[in-house]
Amino acid sequence: MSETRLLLQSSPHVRDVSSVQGIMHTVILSLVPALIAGVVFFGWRALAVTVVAVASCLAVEAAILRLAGKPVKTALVDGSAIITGLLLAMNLPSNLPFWMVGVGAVVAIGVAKHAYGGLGNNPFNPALVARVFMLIAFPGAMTSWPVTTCNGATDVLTAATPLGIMKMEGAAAAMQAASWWDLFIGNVGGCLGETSALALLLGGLFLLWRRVISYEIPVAFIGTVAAGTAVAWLVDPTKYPDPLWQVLSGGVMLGAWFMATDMVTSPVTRKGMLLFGVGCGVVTCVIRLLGGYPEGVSFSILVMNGLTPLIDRYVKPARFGAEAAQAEGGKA
Amino acid sequence: MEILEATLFLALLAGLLSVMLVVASRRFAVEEDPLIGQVNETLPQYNCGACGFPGCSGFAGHVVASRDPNAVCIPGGPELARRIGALLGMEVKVTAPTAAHVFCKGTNGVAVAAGEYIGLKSCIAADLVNAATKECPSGCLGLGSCVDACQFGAIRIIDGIAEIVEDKCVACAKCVAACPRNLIRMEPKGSKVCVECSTKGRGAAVKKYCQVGCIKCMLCVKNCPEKAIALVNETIVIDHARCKRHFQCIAVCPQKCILAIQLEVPELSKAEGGEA
Amino acid sequence: MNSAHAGFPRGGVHPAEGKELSLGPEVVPVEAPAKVLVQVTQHLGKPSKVAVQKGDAVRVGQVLATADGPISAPVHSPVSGKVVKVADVPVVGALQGACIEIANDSKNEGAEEFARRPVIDWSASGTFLGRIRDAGIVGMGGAAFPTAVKLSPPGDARVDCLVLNGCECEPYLTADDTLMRSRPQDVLAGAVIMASILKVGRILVGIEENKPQAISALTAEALGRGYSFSFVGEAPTPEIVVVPLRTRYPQGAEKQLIDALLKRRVGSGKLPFSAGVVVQNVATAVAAYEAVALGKPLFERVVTVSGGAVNRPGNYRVKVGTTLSALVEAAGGTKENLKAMIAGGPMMGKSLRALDAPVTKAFSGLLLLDDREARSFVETDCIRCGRCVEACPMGLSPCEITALAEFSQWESAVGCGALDCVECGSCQYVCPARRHLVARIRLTKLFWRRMKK
Repeated sequence: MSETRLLLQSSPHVRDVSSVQGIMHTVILSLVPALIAGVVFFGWRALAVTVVAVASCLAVEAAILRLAGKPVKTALVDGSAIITGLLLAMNLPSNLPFWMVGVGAVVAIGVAKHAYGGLGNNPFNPALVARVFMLIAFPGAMTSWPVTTCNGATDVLTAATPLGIMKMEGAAAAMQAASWWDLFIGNVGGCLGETSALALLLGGLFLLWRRVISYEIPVAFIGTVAAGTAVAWLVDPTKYPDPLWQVLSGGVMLGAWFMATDMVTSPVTRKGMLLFGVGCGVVTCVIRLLGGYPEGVSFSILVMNGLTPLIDRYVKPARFGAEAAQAEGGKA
Repeated sequence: MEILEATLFLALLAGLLSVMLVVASRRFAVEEDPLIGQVNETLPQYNCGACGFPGCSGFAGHVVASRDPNAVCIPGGPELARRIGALLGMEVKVTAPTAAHVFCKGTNGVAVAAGEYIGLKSCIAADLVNAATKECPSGCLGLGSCVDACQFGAIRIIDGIAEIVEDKCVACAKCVAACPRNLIRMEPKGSKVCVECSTKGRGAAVKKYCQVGCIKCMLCVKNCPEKAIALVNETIVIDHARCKRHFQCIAVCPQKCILAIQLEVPELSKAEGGEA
Repeated sequence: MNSAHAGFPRGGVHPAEGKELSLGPEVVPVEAPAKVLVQVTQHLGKPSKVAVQKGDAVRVGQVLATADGPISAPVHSPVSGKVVKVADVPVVGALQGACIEIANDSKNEGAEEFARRPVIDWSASGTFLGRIRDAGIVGMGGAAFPTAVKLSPPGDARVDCLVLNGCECEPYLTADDTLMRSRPQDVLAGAVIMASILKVGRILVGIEENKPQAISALTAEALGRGYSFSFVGEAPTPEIVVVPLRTRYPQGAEKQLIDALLKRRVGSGKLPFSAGVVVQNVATAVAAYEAVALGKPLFERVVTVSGGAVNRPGNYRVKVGTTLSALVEAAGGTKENLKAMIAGGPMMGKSLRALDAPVTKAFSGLLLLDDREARSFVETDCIRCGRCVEACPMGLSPCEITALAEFSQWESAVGCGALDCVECGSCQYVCPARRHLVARIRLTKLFWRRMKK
């Protein structure tokens, strides 16, 4: 009928503008404030670690796609490897040797993502798998935190994180080492992207506004952590700091806004997300307050990642007309 | 003392559990005809379902129980049929080996494209919404529903049409059921002469959508010395049993849609293939 | 989103409406072409039986094919002329279908009968249902189910309300909107006729709020009751309420519409009868009115021709059997950048390969989309974002159903509610990974039916 070939397909014939690529790029944009905060508090080394992490994630992704005979270019531009790289860097101390960052990228992309079939098929958050792997493989390097540059220190000096101090020396020492304000703006020791609650909050709210994430997971996660630590604080305020301090410290903000909300590894229903967030909060509290590790956000998210298929199986949307069918069935 | 206690306890536990196992195996034992196991062992274990039973063991159970001489394991072929016959001490139907064959040669460019199909890559899905890849209403869609159905990797899509790799085909006929346009039929394995087109259309209408479409000119039917070619249900079909390989049909076919498969075709002029 | 008006409870999408393209001042009549192709079976149900032979002379409104059994419908000639042949030709929705080809003599013999002054004789209201059946009226919103069957509830159903569907929630389409604006009295007359057949005292008219003129026209008509048509006998006076609804696709889906208007839920696998409701499209109501007041069979309808690739988008009154190419010609032809042709709306319509198929009774719109409106997409892996779950008006989890379908787990997919899917396409519309969700659910239904056989 004409030279240009007409498109043939099954309905619907029109699509919304949003795309996987668009979602990924929005997430990348939302991580920029946290990255800036990292550079401000930990110096240019933080940026270097981030660049190395992103570059090695992209390299590993390209290598594996080529090996698997999949189209390399389309998968690289979708931005998911960049996000994994960024999130991995956010979860690392800024003074980590570069080769270790590379190892982390191999674990994240090679093992946690592509061993399961690539984007969309991985049961666990790749960046978190890599972080936990590194925490166990390089326990020394992964837990020696540089002092923030604002305190006039150099790369050589290291200090414990506020949560580490809490575990070792109790609430008073921890709260003296880091005030609410320090925690809020990020002027404390820790992974390069997790310290500034302010920057993370900005990014998280941006994601909410762009409707990339919904409020359920972050609110449930943070709310549960606050509730759990409030109980501990009421029971023994000498040992446990107040809930606001707890929420602002460690990886709660990064985890709740960026790691737990990863679409691939979290439930698809709103109710499921709520449950998922509460679960993350509970596990975090248990590890923080009762466990051997000072921080439990990474573990909690991984545990809940593992439970996601189960949540999706049992928490489903209410089917239209199910009540009517049930009422009728009851009558019959 | 402690070691003794533990050893004793575990020994006692092991003894108790083994007694339970013995009792259970005796009480709940299922008697099965040993022949079923023997027949099952001879089967190819493809579990392809061509026989109509759930897997090879299901087929074994059926033949042993029913002694049905018509129950055939098609992939096993005559050799297996004889062996099963020997095991059961009876005559089992032996069939000539067959293979799937795709009756369409309308490759890209040869068959007129209908548009750009951008839906789900499945012939069945495309057929459901009447969104074909080619103008021909009965041409191969080339989206590979047969490839998905074949567990032996015997089908490839080449240049827009499905092709059977005969050596790999075990004649399970899964592809026959998968093709929404019924283009795949079971044919004798090996050499044969086939009309490679399934359209029911005629004349100019066919020429409009395919260069190698059968236009029902009936020249092949008229010129076959063995009267082995006939128009059945608006498609031309060759009776392989009667075909004596004169190749007259190939010589006279104006659309070149009759092909000799695994056969050398001697040089034939049209005059020779005429009324001679 | 933020609307004061009622809507269905969950899911749905709001695609770009694109309705301004075709929303002209009036309906443009199209002369029937020299050759018309009347499809023999234009309804959902048992195929009709051809009642004419090659060479027969036919008049406008003459029966060409008769109904075969209760769930069937007759077909009438839209023109006068001679039957050329009955043959299989390409039709909308199938590769081929039987059509009666008529050479149009352009004399319109018999048409004068339907041009007289319409009169409704209420004293003969017992004959209304038969007239609707004989007029071959089918659901004109797209489903094409015989209207007379829908107006005959089973014995155990207690129907208390007639719902008139004026939502027209599909983007681009404005045929119903135009009809409601230009002939509000006929729409309501048809509704009152159908209500009298059903013996219900309540008519609810659901219209999306993006059609303010249609809403005000029908509201004024419902309040004023200044029936402009003549009638004999005592007219029934059912309560008529025009309800503006939230503009959200698929507001016009039967179950969603009933929920929005009446807060009643039709159960899974159930018909609206079970909720005491009958839903009829506004165009169907007008056809019913014409059948009763004029004895006019359904042989013409209003069709939207729209899209960026058509020269004169608008609403056209065409004879059933007009080929789509003749319709496009009447609409000024297509532009260079034509990229896709769709029968129906963009959400649920069917791709067309060519324009040789004829217009049928349920053909609501022809979309000729340009290369900006119709784009090709590449499917990527599901990223489990859950947007399809949010968008599904039926409360299903499309990503889960299709994940099972991909591995041919038809039984599990049906267990997840695949059969409840109305194929509205909301899930696929929002999917950022451009997954072929609806196609996979259709496959599931197909294989399920095969397994059940």
